Amino acid sequence: MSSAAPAIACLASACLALGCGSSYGDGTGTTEPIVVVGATFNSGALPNDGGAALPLTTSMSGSAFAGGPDKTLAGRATLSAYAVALRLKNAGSGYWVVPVGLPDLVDPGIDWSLKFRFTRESPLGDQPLLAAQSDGKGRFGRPTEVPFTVKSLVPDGKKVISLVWHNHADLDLQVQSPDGKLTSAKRPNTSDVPKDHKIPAGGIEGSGTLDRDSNARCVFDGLMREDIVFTGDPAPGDYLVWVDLFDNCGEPATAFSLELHEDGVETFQRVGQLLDINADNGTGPGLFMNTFSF
Amino acid sequence: MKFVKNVWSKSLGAVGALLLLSQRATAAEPLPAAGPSAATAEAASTTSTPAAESEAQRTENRARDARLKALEEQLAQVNQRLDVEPKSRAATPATPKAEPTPGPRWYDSIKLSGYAQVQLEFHQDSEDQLAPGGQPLNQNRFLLRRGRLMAVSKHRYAEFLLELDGNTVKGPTFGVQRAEVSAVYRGPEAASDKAPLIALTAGVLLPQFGRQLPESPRLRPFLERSVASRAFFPSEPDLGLQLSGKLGFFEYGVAVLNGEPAGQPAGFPLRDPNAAKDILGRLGVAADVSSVVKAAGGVSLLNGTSTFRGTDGTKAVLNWTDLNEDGQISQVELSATPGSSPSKSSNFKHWAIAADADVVLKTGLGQTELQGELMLGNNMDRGLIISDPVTSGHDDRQLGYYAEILQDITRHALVGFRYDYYDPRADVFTNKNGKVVPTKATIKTMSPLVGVRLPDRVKLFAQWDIVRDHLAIDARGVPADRKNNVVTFRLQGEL
Repeated sequence: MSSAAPAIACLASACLALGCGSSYGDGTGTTEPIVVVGATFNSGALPNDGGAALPLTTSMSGSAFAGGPDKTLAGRATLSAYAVALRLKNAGSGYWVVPVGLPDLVDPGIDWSLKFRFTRESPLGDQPLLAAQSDGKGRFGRPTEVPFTVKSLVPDGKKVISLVWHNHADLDLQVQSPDGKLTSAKRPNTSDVPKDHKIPAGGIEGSGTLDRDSNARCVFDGLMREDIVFTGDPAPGDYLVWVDLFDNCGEPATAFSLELHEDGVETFQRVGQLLDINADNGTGPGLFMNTFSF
Repeated sequence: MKFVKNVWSKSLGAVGALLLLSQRATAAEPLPAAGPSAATAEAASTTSTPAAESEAQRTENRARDARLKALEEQLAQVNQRLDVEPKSRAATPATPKAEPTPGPRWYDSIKLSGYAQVQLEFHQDSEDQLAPGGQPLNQNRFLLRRGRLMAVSKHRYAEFLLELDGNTVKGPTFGVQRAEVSAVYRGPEAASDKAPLIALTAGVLLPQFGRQLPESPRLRPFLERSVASRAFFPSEPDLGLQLSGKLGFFEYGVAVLNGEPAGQPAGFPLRDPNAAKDILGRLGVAADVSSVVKAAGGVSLLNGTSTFRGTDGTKAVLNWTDLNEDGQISQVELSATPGSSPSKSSNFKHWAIAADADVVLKTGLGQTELQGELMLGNNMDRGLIISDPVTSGHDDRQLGYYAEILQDITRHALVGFRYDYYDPRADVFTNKNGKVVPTKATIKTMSPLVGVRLPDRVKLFAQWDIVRDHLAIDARGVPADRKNNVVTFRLQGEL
């Protein structure tokens, strides 16, 4: 015990000197379920000192994609407000603080506006936000609840075949439909297109569509997913699925997940991995993953 | 100064010799003034006539006079030299005093060594093309595999080691292979070259895990480590602190490391993206079982943390999908791909265990060595089929082992064979979440080896790696054996 005491004392001294925590104080907040642009992150629950609530809080829409684009939240604060704080009510480890604008002398009050986004770490479903103003002495007002619905990036559809990965590689989802057509970025429909290239209203019956070519030519788009979406019932038959590594884009290995969503519910998942030696610029076959029989 | 001493000693010697000679002459030839007793004795002993006697006496006197004259001349010459000597000594500039013998300098204890491994490789999957991204697919080439220079300084309580490495594996590169500072205890009155009982080493060091990892490539006949060892540790060195030593039969080593070995194709080589540190170590024994048998073995453990890379956020871009497949852009085919927020990095655990054994037999033909190692890992592949439990949703388990035999053929040659097995997804325990990987991905390598030891520390090796794996994709898209056998000729020269 006596020999351990100096070591503990040294450790305690080091902790005091270094703060025993992140050198960023409350951290950068990049792992939070929401991120507010140009704001400061503070850990902990949103304080409530019983001050005035925000008089007005509005949003252009009440839903957003997890990992999707920025959303705008705006409103009005009292003249005593210095900043507006925002956090997710039921998730996250802290709150964001963004300063308010200049006071409106005609109609006493302060307009405020902020941009935020739900990250991929955000839980899905109803995820209300809490917003509150703080004054010059750092006292927070009563929080205002703003309802929001967070949706997955999986597109809506009767059946959706999805390829998901997590790095800069250019992967391609390839599906061969029962009539033998191979769907790719250049031919995004699973069924043949009419010869006059006119897509009928409501789409080609029984056909699915590839929604994007993600990370095409190694231009990182941050989505890292491709989906073939059947808005209606697919043409019956077997659909063979491959995953091709068009370009490894500097990644030595790329793990991926092939998923099938039926009416919004994941019913199939299989993981695989391709190495840099499998990159073929689309000249070779992809890795066969599964056959879906619809 | 020495010169003066020599002259003096020679001169005095000459004078001494002269005086001695004079005394002898005096004793042998009594002068006339020697006294009546001597003359009486001499007269008594003479039996010749007086005339003859006087003639002989005169002859003898002349001869004696001549000798005396010669001696006087020699004495005069000696006196003359003795008179000249002090003047010449005074005229000669003072010779500086001899420097005292210098004490040991800091660089006296440094020992330099080095070696170069140059090889010619032939790969079955080589192509005269470039891979996507521009890297050459041709691998039939000359290659400087390792060019290393090592400086070691051993003292009673400390050791310093610096090893530099240059190679052309991915173009010319040069860097630190090892940089170690050690505090050591070798036991009482132990010499500085004795293996330490305890050594605390900090720096870029070789972790003690398994048999191959801490082994110098200079001494290893097979050209590279086993596939499993290279998958777990793409390169040997890592940064940290290690406690190691040798106590009788036992060898031990425990290290706290960053856990990001050099040479990782992914990850953060020799840096650390997480605060957690890897702890690994090995406990082994090595003993001479008899005069012809040596045996060694050990067990190793590793427990640590890896980091899965998140991605940066992006800005919105315009996206075109040719929905009607006519090659023309129409308004309905344009859509916005929204900017996305960064995805977070996350940590995951990895661990590994290993057991190794080595038996050496001395036979009439030379030395026979049998060696084997077994490695089990969880999310440990950091170099080949890289573990990604975040994407896959379950831990990846690895199994690897090898067995090898080496046989000396006299002192000048050796032959060997190694069977090497690695399964990067060996689900030897259980599936998690009911999620399975699509195929096996085993890699089996059989490697016959021939080596020749040439004079002047030069070695020549030839190794054929026959590889059976699942790294290719056949026409159906199913994993297949990649035609990637390798023949390598290596010339190794040592300092």
